[in-house]
Formats: sequence, C-alpha cells, structure tokens
Amino acid sequence: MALSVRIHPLHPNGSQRVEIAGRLDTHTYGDLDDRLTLVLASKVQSLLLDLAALDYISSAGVRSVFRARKLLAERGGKVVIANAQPQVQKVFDIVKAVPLSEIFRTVEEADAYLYRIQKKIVAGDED
Amino acid sequence: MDATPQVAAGPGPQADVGVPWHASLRTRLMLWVGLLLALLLLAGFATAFYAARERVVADAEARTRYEARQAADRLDATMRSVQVSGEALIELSQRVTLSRSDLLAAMEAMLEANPSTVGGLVALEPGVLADRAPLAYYVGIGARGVPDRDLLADGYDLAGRDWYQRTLNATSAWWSEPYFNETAGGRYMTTLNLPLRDRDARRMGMVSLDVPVQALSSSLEPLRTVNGQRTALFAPAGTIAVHPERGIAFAHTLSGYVASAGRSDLAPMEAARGQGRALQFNHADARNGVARYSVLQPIGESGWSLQLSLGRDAMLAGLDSAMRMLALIGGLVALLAALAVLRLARRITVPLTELTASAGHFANGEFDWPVPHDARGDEVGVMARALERARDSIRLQLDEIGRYASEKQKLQSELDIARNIQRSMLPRDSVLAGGPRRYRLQARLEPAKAVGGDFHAHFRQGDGRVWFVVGDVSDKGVPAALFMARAVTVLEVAAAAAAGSRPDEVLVDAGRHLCAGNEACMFATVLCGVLELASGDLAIASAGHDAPLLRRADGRIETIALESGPALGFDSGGHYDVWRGRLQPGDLLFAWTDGVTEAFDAGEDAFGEDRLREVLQVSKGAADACDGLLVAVHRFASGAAQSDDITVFAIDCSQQAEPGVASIRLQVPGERGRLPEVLDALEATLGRAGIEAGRIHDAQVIVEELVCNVMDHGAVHGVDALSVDAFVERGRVVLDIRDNGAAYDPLGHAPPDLDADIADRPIGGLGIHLVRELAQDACYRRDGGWNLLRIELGAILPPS
Repeated sequence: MALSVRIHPLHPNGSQRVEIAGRLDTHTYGDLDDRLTLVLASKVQSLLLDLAALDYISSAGVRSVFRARKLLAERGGKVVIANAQPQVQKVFDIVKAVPLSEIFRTVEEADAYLYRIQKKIVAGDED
Repeated sequence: MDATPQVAAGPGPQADVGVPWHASLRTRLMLWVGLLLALLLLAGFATAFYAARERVVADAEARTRYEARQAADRLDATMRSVQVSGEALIELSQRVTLSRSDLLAAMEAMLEANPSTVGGLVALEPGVLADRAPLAYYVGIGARGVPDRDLLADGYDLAGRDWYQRTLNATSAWWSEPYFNETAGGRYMTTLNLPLRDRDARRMGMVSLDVPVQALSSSLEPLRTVNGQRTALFAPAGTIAVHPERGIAFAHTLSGYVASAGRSDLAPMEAARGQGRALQFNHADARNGVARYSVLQPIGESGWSLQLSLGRDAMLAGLDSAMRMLALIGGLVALLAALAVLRLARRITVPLTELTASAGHFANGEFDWPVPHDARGDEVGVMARALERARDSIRLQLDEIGRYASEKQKLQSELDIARNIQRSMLPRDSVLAGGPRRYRLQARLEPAKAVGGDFHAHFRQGDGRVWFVVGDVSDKGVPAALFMARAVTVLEVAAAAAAGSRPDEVLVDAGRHLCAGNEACMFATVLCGVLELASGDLAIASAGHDAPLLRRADGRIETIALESGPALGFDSGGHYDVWRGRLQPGDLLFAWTDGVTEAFDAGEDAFGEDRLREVLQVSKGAADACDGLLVAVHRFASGAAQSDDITVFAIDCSQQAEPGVASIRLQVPGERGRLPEVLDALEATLGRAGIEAGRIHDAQVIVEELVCNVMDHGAVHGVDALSVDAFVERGRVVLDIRDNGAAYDPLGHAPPDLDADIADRPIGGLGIHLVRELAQDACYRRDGGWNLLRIELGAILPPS
C-alpha cells in the first residue's frame, strides 16, 4: 500500500495538521518530503502529524519527520505526533526522532499542547 | 472572657456558634424572668389596688357622712339661733306688757343681735296692744340693706295672706320656702314664722324673722372646696335652695328636678327627704352614669335638709395616680430585673458560645485549640473539663486509627508486592514448536484475594519436552500463596530431575518434599503433565485434581480417564496413575481449578462442568478458550463475590504451515526498486506462518534498513549481489541477509547520539540503530565468502 498525505487547513493556533496514511519507507518518504516542503515554506508554526492510518515506517520515514522537525526548530516551531499505531510508535521510541513529550495519543491532546506552546510564545513576544 | 478574641478570629465554626437572638438562652431567660416578674407585680398591684380602693372609698364615704352631719349641725345652730331670737321676743311680749314702740325696739335689738337675720315682721291682732290698735310693722336692719316698713300704713292685706293665717293657727314655728324679696335688697330669703299667743293660748298675732338664703348657704362654702364634693340644700317643701348646677336653685323643687332632669337616681332621696329622715346611698347620675355617694341629712327640726355628695372619681383620683406611679415603678423594676438576668445569663451563655466554638475547632481537627473556662468551679467549668476529656479521648482514638490505617496500608502495600511477586512467578504464555507442530500454552489466573493458592507453570526440559502443572492449594490468601510458591518450586525441581515422561514420579517426588515440614497441614491438588513436542505425546497424572478435558479437532470433547492419586502435602509415598495420549493438530487440552466449576451465581448455583464444556465447544484456540471461559464464569456469577481463586490452562496444537521460507536474490545496486517485492514476500511468508502483524512490521523494517544499507553503501565494498532469506524456526523469525562484498559488520557502527540537541543531530544513521533495537538476536559472520547477518525475532511480541 502506498503513502497518502492529507494536509488540513491551517489551524487558528498556527499549527498544520497532516494526516499520513499507508507506508512511509525508503520509496515513499520522498513524497512526504515534497508535500512537507510546501507546507513548511509557509509561515506555519508547527506540524501536527496524525499517524492514525500509518501502518509502516522505516528509518527513511523517520528521517522525513526528523527533517521537518529540524526545519521548524530553526524558527522555534514544533513537530508533534498523534495517534501512532504501536509498531510505528515503537520505531519512534527507538530512534527518539521526536521527544516523548511531543508524542500524543489523540489529536485533541496534541492540539492542547500546541495551544499552550503558542500562548507561551505570544506571551514571550510581548515581554 | 479573655478567650473571646481568639474565638472571634477562628474560621468556620463561628457560623455554627451564632444562635439567632430570639433562640438564645439569654433572651429567653430575660423574657421569662421579666414576664414572670411583671405578672407577679401586676397581681400584687391588683390586690393592693382593690384593697386600697375599698379602704379609700370607705374612708371617703365616712368623711362625707361626717361632714354632712357637721354641716347640718352648723346650719341647725344658725336656724335655732334665729328661732331663739323669735321665741325670746314672744316670751318678752308675754311676760311684759310692752308698748308698740318698745316691742319694735325689742325686735330691732333681737335682729341686730343675730347676724343671720336681716329683718322681721311683728303683727298683732287688734286689742292686743294697749291702744287696741292692730300692728303690722316690718323692722329692717338698715345696716344690712333692709328698710323698715309699716304694712298697715301701706294698706297691706295681711289677713289675706296664707302664711299669716297658717302662722296664726300654728302651734309652733315654721320655715317658709325661699322666695325672692325685692324690698330686702333683691335677695332670696327664707322666713321663720312664729305664732304669738297669750298664756291662755289665744291667738295674738305673729312674729317672723327673715334670713337670706345666702346666710345659710355661706356656711356650706368650705364643703365645696373639696374636689368632686357637691352640696345641695332643700327647703321644707322641697324647694331647692342651693344646687351645684346653674339655674336649678329656687326654680325647682327636688321632686320637680327629679322629674324634669331625669334624675331617677335621686328618687329615694326625695322620699327620705319627705319623711324627714337621713339617707346615705350610692347612685349613678341617670344622665351620664357618673357614680356618686350622697348623704341626705335633715337639719334639726327645721324641715330643711342638706345633701352632700362626692363623686367616685374624685374619691379615687389620688389612688389612681398613686397606682400609676406604682405601676411605672413596678415596670421599671421588672425591666431592671430582666436586664440583670440578661447580664447574669451572659455569664453562662458567653462561655457556652466559646466552648461551642472550641468544639467546632475540634470538629475541624484543630485539637490544639484551647478550651476556655476549664478552671471555673461552676457547671460551665465542669462542661469545659468534660469537653477537654472528650477532646483528649478523640485525639487518642484518632491517633490509634491513624496507626491502624498506616499499618493496614503497609500491610496492603506488602500484599501488593506479594501479589506482583506471585504473578511474576507464573510463566507467560508460550508458543512452542516441535518440527512442523506448534503448541500454544495459555493460562489465566484470578486470585480471589490479593494473593492466592492457585498456580500453573510449565518448564522446558531439554529440546523436546515441556512439563506443565496446574494446581490448587487448600485455603486462600497469604498462607496458600506461601505454600503455592513452595509447591511450584518443588514441582519444577522434580520435573527437571525426571528422567522420562513420568509425571507420576514427579508427583511422588514433589509430594515427598512438600510433606516434609508441613506443620500447617496444607495440601495442594496438582495436575502434572508432560508433552513431547515432536510427537504430541501426552502423559498426565493427577494428585487430587480434576482430570482435564481434551477437545479433538472434530469438536468431540473427551474426558481423560484418569484415576487421581492423593493430593500433595499428605502422606508421601502415594501412587499415581498415568494417562497417556497424543495431542494432534487441532486438539485442545483444557485444565482448570475448582474456582471455575464451583463459581456460584446469586442463586447459589455452581458453574459446573457442563457449562465449561459448552464454552470449550466453541473456542477457537487456547487463548480463546481461556478468555472465553473467564468471561462465561464472570457473566454467570454476575457480580456475586468471587469465592475462590480461578485458574484455567489450555494447550492447543496446530500444524505449522509449509516451512515458510522467503528467499530472494537482488543485484546491487541496480535492483533497489525491487525492495517492495521483498517486503511483500516477507509479509506473505510470515503471515502464513501465523506471525502477528506487529512482528511482521518489525521484520520488514529490519530487512528494509539492511537492504538499503547494502544498496547505498555496498558498492564501495565491492558488493554486487545480496540475498534475503526469511523463515520461522522454533517459534522464532529468522532473517538471513547476505552480500558478497568485503568483510564488513554493519553492527559495528557506533550508535547515534540520540540525546544530543536536535540541531546537532544528523538526520541519517538511524537505520542500523533501529535494526539493533528491534532484533532480539543479531549476529554477523562470514559464510563462504559472503557477509551473513542473521537476525532473530521472537514469534510473539513481548508485552509493551
């Protein structure tokens, strides 16, 4: 099964929700990179990767996520993960591409986290 | 009182202490005492008032009677003096033969001597005087405003007057009714008429003396000064000469007044007056109801009478004001007493309030809050000390409870630890392979308490044999758990020492050990079996345990005919039968403890073996049988408390699919694009072998990482071919990746620094790390000019 990427409209809290489904491996990671490059070119603050339908991930896929994370980190943004299936979750746990604190069981929890982060940033800007 | 500020500073309890003023003991005491006092005072006053009133009325009436008599006596004296003057003249004329002028001079002297008289008439029949001429001469006292008058000379018809004829015929003096006299100065007069007779009682004429009514009434003046006292004077025929009401005097007789003014209350007085007798009576003015006390007193023999009356209001006026003053004082006394009670009550209620506040703090757990007033000697002090004792007692008991609680908590946490230890003693579910056969061993244990006496275990012996035991220690809880731990150990040791497939020997051996030193006389029923993996041969022996059931591939359920031996822990040296059979693919062996068959529902019905068979009939495998049975038991018991530990144990046998081997050769680096094909073949092969999806995912990731690694970097090391072989062996997934390059061990890669800052971490270098982490075994070796990397994974995922 191939990769499918669905990009949601920009959330008011500045985060972009991206649903990734299917297999993310050495053959498909390029598709994700292309799609994410477009998203990251905008002023998006953070990425929320919804992995509910992602069945498979290898280190190539992890690298895509890691790359996005590095890019966003340069401008103070975050990549958070939600809904990962156990086998996918295990891969993330092993390579630590995303801190445990930024992996969530549900989209709602991830949204709440991003909202808090954004508030903190806004408060920081006002200082 | 020193405690008051502390109490006021206190939190919450204040709200409880505040009693609304109307419910306060203080207010009630004050009101009741005030009310009682006021009632007592009122009763006293009422009694005193009525006694005093009787007395005052009696006194006033006596005084009125006395004054009436006095006034009557005074008037009588005046009238008598007038009569004496007249009688003196008559006496004189009888004794001495007087000339006309002498007689008149004597008359004038008499009149002047009596201050009451203002004039007098001397009338003589013809022939009485020496000159035999008649005489009718009025002697007036000029100084008193009355002139002399010669009636004969004026031609006055004396003989035609009624009063003259009456006097001539009278035998004694009589008083006329008052009349208006113009000649005597326009005054009302009354006249005393005296008949003049000689010694032979022949009528000679008359003498009369005029007295102004004013002269009589003036002696009544002092009586009128008494407030509410009234006087009236009645002439002999009833004419009213003095009356307190304007326009009554001289205009009416008493009987006429009684009739015209509607004074029926005075009728008895008129009757008494007509009879000339005295009368004292109470009466009420018929017109306005004003009560009065009147005394009618005849004035001597004159025919006049005097009325003295006193209004009852006037009698009581003084009493009323005195009583008002007294009531005012009484009210003040009651009020002061009530206030005094209020102050006194504060001495009780304020400490009570403070004690209540302290009690409120105790209720909040602030046991160090001081108890005020505990040094007092009165009931408040007693109460305060009782409160202190109660507080101390509660504190002691709370400490005790706290100690018990912490001990219980400690015990509970120890039990929790024990529970974990016991659970960890039980083996995990296993999948065992014997040649093409695969066996799944599944067990579930639910203790009735934190720890229990049920147990199950299985031990591999060598390569081809697995021992399993299911047991139930008598009793439950900690003692059973301790015995269970020993039983499991002893059984494992016995099984390890067993030479062949002789479960009876294992039971005998274990029984001997458990018997030794079993002071508590605990025992365990044990089902012990051994399975030859290659053939599926089973040997089972029972030490007092229910024989297991065998469900065949075609669905038949066989009861294993097994004669049970003695339970372990009793006498050693028992004998055990051994049942021998074979587990074929599709078969399922099922054992349980009596917690299953003796689970009771609310109606005390046991679950029983029939229901167990029904569940077993429809089970798909070992795991399904165990889980399904537990669900069925719980549904059956439907909330009734679990009475015993529940253990189920199942082994199923399945024929492994064709030895799953995926073997693919790839050219490096040209055939990089065939990787999905390799991964699909891997998934198909492992799936057929019954490997679960999570494991297949891990295997795919490993293969992808290693293949990509060789594809991307192998050419440098002279690689132009690689092969991937995957198969399942002895329950493990084995992946062999070979390449024909120079010797190179990718596992020798230094692991990436995963804890470094994100900005410093390279994006790559994760693949080999993933392989190392996902694999359970990974080894590298050279194999005939090839680099061989062998990766092994357990067929079953470790619990996450």
